[in-house]
Amino acid sequence: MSLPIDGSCEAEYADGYIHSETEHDDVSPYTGEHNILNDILEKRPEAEHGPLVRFSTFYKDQRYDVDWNDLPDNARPVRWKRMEADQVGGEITEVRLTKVGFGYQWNDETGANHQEVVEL
Amino acid sequence: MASTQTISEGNGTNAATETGSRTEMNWKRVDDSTTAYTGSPINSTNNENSMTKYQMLKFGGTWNSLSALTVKIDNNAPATGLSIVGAVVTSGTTPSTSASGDSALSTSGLSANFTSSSFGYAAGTSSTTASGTMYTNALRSQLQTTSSYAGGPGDIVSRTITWTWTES
Repeated sequence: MSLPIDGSCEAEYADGYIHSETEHDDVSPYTGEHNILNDILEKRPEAEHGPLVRFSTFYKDQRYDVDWNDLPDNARPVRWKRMEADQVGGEITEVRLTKVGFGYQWNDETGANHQEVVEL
Repeated sequence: MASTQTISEGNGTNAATETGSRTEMNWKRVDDSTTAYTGSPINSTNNENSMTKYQMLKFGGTWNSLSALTVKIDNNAPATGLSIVGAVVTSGTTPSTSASGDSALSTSGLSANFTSSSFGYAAGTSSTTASGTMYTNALRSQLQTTSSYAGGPGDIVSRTITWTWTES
């Protein structure tokens, strides 16, 4: 079984439901116009499936997890992708993923933002 | 789906007419998106320049945010007597064969912004969370020649323009 595509993400919720970027082709089943990361950030699955318990990304045949159970209440997922597109003869001929950032951020009681993000 | 990318070109007065989903960007002596470059060649013996060309990246699909966009070319001096100049611009001017005044097109990366969900020219912003269709600043480019070019009639080697960005 192959893992989801590099740089994609998924979230697991309290009832075991997994909201997968690959499974939904990165289109929100809730709005039809946002991506899956936006669903996770906006907590759209939580009304039906309970709180987020795991946030994951995939890169080079590895799954990277953040256990959401021990994080501050205002923690938000972070997943970014550095991309390159080659234009040869006017046409986009290749799009590459060159780097992935993954982790979470939160604000402390003073409002200061903190991040725990690794570059994969 | 994630984000998708196509190239749009601006032609005509103020380069304001869009031709979307371009599949070629040959520098030539006519400002349109249809004439074959072989039908409107650039004559280095006469120190001619191409028409300035305006092209921009158009995003579609789904994304949460876009930021940190840059654009570069792999080689701006493909031969003696040939140079490729260019700049990221925030307004369109009618394409011309006069020297654009731009510097050699960067081989390390020019910063560019995201402008609007509609084709056009604007300063834009360095990041956006709009999702869906999003255009970027245009890259204006021009092939300039001099009579010192010794390659003779024919095509030059294709160049690669690379757009780089961060998305979430």
